[in-house]
Amino acid sequence: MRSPSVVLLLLALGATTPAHAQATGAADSIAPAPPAEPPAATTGVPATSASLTNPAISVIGWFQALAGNDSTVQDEAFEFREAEIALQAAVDPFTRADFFIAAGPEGLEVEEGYVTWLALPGGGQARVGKFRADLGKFNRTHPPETPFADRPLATVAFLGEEGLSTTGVSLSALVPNPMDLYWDVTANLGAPPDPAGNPLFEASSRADVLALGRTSLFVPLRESADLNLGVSYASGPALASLRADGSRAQLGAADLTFRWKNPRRSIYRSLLVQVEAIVEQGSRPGAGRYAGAFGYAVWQFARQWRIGVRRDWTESPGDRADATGVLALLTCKPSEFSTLSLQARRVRAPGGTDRAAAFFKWTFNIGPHGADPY
Amino acid sequence: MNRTVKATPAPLVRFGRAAALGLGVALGATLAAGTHPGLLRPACAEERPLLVVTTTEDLAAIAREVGGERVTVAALCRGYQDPHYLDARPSYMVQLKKADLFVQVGRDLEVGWAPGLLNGARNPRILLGAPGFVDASSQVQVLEIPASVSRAQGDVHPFGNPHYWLDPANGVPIARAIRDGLARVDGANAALYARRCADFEQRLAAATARWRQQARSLDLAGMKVVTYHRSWSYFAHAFGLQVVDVVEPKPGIPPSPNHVQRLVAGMKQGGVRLLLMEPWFDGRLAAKISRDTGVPLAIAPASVGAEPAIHTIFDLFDRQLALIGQALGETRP
Repeated sequence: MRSPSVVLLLLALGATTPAHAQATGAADSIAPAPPAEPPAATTGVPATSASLTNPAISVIGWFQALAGNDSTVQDEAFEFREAEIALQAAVDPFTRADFFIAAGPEGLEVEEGYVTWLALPGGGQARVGKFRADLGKFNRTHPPETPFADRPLATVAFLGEEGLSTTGVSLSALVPNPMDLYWDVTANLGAPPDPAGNPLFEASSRADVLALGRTSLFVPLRESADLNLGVSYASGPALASLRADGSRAQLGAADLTFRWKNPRRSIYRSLLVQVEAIVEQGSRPGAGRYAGAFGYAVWQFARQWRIGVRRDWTESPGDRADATGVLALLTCKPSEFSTLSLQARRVRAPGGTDRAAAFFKWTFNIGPHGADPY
Repeated sequence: MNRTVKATPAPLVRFGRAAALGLGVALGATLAAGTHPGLLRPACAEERPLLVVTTTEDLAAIAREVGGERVTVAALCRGYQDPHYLDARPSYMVQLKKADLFVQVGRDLEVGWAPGLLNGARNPRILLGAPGFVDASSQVQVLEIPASVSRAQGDVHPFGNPHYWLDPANGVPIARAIRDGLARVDGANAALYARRCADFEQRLAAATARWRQQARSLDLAGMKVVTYHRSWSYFAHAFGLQVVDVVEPKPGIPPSPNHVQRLVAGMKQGGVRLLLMEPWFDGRLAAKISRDTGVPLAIAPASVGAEPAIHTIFDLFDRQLALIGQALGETRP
């Protein structure tokens, strides 16, 4: 990054100006009183703020403060970790485009940018572009939007500090089943990520691709509770420093998510529990196997308040020495559009050294109300 | 790198091959099954009833009135849930994937969950702009359209107040929007839908006259009321109530103690006769305000399905007026 603050400032101005212009335009367009005559019935009235001709523009800001002797998450005591600009719109009746541009101390990056064919013949869906890989459930979540100030140790060890992304194509479909459960299968094929940002994969030629598959099953246990189970597998060319024999790196992941929320009091109480395990192994017979796992629970005990805890354990690719960690959080959401979180983390690094840190994470969102992921 | 290598066969290799094969087969079989000509045929050409999926139970109740035996109707949000904050459970996508018609309240009420469900449902028949997409607000006279929109006002609805089904007169434009949607996807039965819609309108007009009479007997015209959220504007408009304040002035943000203090003081002096609240809010604050001011609290259903006995729009207004009458009756000398 040549001049992070200048670029951030320009970006913020560039991003907020169109957003403001769009909001103003929206207000102007809806300001007149309701028509005296009811409008003629039309097919599909575009009555959402995100469906005007211009893309919906929103910005998520992420400010974070750190205290303690653990500088693995960030270098400075106060950092503006990221401004994530989202540009989203329908391209035509068949496709939509989503772009997420992240600007932070390390520069400007298209974190995701893809076009989705919403309904292919046969009930499929296709995505082309750069996107976060469907490996595990946590990896799909953008860093500012996770409950944590950091990322779980296992995901950092096996997927990199920003998670695993790929540029290519993804195909998914819902699997019909007698119980009418949501069961999806996804296959990704794309270029491996930059080796600077990931600890496993490196392409030495264009033929070196990252192949990934995932299937997940959603089981509604009752009206207030459900379970989501997922299994993922990825195979790609290994970093030369990791696999000198030229074999491929392989990742397997399993995830389990439990949610509880009383539908009659949905804005006041909820529970989220997620467990995820990642295993890595080279493709040659006899290759070593290395693993990591994490689990967390977040309990909403009042309309604006949540507490949570996370446990981590992980080895690293090619290194059996393990690290463990625990993180606790107390989060306040003054509104749907901002989150303030106090967090404390203790990590026992390989070799037995302890690191401790306290974080204050503040994220906020400006722009149209987006769809909330589940 | 100094490391210990476990000398085992590579189970992840076997797992990977099996997983890749399994995923490939599943994906291929799913897509192949989905491209079967019979499955691509519009549902209206078949004998089975149309599947109508609505976002709320109010729309579902009206869709049943218009569609009759020709439709099977499912609602995503239950009547006792806050429709602003429904979780977009993936199982809803399974329902939407099979839907012939999708009906939403619109005006950004479902903006936090419906777009994601539609995008994930892989059903081109009900996407925005397709014949199977119905925005029920398309013919409604919408109230409280803000002149300017800012999140400083809370989670405001930029396209106006979306709780329009709480005016019985709006049952007519809702029913007509659904009638038109059904006619688009099932033109062969358009006349049937038109007849049923006209019949519903007649019955609704008769019931509305009865409800207005009931409202007059309760002296609702001009009565000052406070509501918890701005859900009751259309109900107030229909029956002449005067909403003088709200407990939650910034939508989506709990009221501050200062606001509650000012509200209580105002209610004591301002001749407020009733505090109206939706059932999904925590009743403790409203009950305290009611105790402090002596103003009766009516926790009234805001949707069909909020209580087991409320199956139709007619049940809904009957129950709302009965509960209001009950609350007002308790304070009368």
